Formats: sequence, C-alpha cells, structure tokens
Amino acid sequence: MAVTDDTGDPPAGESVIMRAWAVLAMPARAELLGDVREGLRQWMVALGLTSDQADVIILCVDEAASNAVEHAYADGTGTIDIQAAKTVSPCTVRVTVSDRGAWRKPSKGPIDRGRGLALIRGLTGQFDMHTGPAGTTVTMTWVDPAQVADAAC
Amino acid sequence: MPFRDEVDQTVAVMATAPLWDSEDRDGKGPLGVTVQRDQDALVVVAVGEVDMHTAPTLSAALDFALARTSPLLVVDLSDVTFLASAGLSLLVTAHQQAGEHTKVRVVATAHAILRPIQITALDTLLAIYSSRDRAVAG
Repeated sequence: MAVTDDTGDPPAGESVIMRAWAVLAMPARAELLGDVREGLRQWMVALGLTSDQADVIILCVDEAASNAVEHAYADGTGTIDIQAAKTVSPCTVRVTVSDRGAWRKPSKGPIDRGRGLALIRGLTGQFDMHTGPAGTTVTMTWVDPAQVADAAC
Repeated sequence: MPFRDEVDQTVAVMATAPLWDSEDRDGKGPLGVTVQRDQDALVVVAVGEVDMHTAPTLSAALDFALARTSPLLVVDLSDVTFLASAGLSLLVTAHQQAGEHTKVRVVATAHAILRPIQITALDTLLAIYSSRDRAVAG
C-alpha cells in the first residue's frame, strides 16, 4: 500500500489509493452503525458503484463493525476505526475495520456471529481477520471487476 | 363453534388496528414493526433497517406473535431495506420456536434482503415468498 509520491508515479507493484473514506475513533455502539452505512453508501455512490454493489460492501462492513461492537470491549467504551479505499492497479475497493480491544469469546446470545462471518466470507473477494494484542483488524477487498465499478479504473 | 365465531367478529372489528406496534413500545427509530392479523395468519410487518441495534424490536414482535398460537406466521420484509445477520438469526429462531403447528413464511423481494438469506443458505430452511398475499394464501 502506498500513496502517490511527489512525482505522481506509483511504486512498482503496489496499489495506489485514489479515494478514501474513514470513520476514526467511533464509539463502539450499535446505534451508530446506521450512520456508518449511510456515509459509506454516499462515498461509494460518488465513486460510481451501483446500488447493488454498494449493498454488498455495506453488508460486510456492517457485519465486521457489529462484530467489533459486540465482542471487542469488555467495558463497552472502546472505539472502532473504519477505513475504506478505492485503489487502481489493481482496481479494488478495500475496507478495514479495526478495534483495539481484547477478543472476547462470543457469548451465547441471540445473535449468532458465525452467520455474520459467513456473510463476509461469501460476499468478499479477499477476507483477512487478524487478532493480536493490539486488537482485531478485518480487511476486506473486492477485486473482481464485476463487483467493483469500472469508474476511475 | 360459537366461541370461534365470536373471536372472528372481534378480529373483523379490529382489522385496521395492529395487535402489536413498536411505536407503542420504544417509539421512533430506523425500524418499525407491527403485528397484524390477516385471515388465518399473523403477519409481522417490518419497515426500515434490521441491524444489530434494531433487531430487538423485531425480536419482541416475533415473540408476541409466537406466543399467540396461529397456524401461519408471516414475516413480511417487503419494506425492509437492510438485513444483517442479527435479523437472520431472528428468522431462524422464529422458525425453530414455531413448532409443528405453526408454519413460518418470509416475504422478501429486494436483492439487498434476499442476498444475505441466500448466501447463508437460509432459503433452504425458510419458506420465502414474493408477496404478502401469496404467503398468506399459501
């Protein structure tokens, strides 16, 4: 990952972020997820993605963020970072959802998070979840041209 | 059966008022849910977004409907614009709790709603209908 350097030439073999959108240090509260979805949708519509393509990405981001809200923080006061990027070479939309909490074992609540992860796996071109001492980061990338609008690629 | 006739007349009089309404509970929000009677069916009508935050509203409506034993429970998602896994879990739970005397049918038409149902293969577990009328008529 790199941003365009001063000469405007991308480093060989690395993707270049053309557009970015982020929500940083958002309180990990479920009632804020609707605003995240709406903000992300507006960004993707501006990129030229269709409503259907935006729906897929929004669903996956919502699931990853819900996962963080539900499990990341024992005291319920943590924050979440959501960062979205549109890249060229290759043409992708990539979204990371990060928390800084210690992973808690999913409770036997009414919500089955396994189904949320199944949604992400089924609808994301590339999916990676990394949990470490500093927290959990979910990275989702849509690379299939059929899934990403060809605008700006 | 006189008792049954009496019940039906009461329902006819009350036809325009929902049996249960989320507006009467926690007020406004991105999801509104009502429970209505339609012929032999109880119909749970959801309007808006079903996510982790709003799922408890739908859950309460489903609990209300399931507590009133009915031969048919229709969950109408025609006017739902977003359905997350929290909502999928509620559909599965309702299906499991309904028991053998209550059929559960789900009305879903939009891609955004059918997609999560199909990706998680719940269309093989749940009976999906393309309109409320079809679901009620069966």
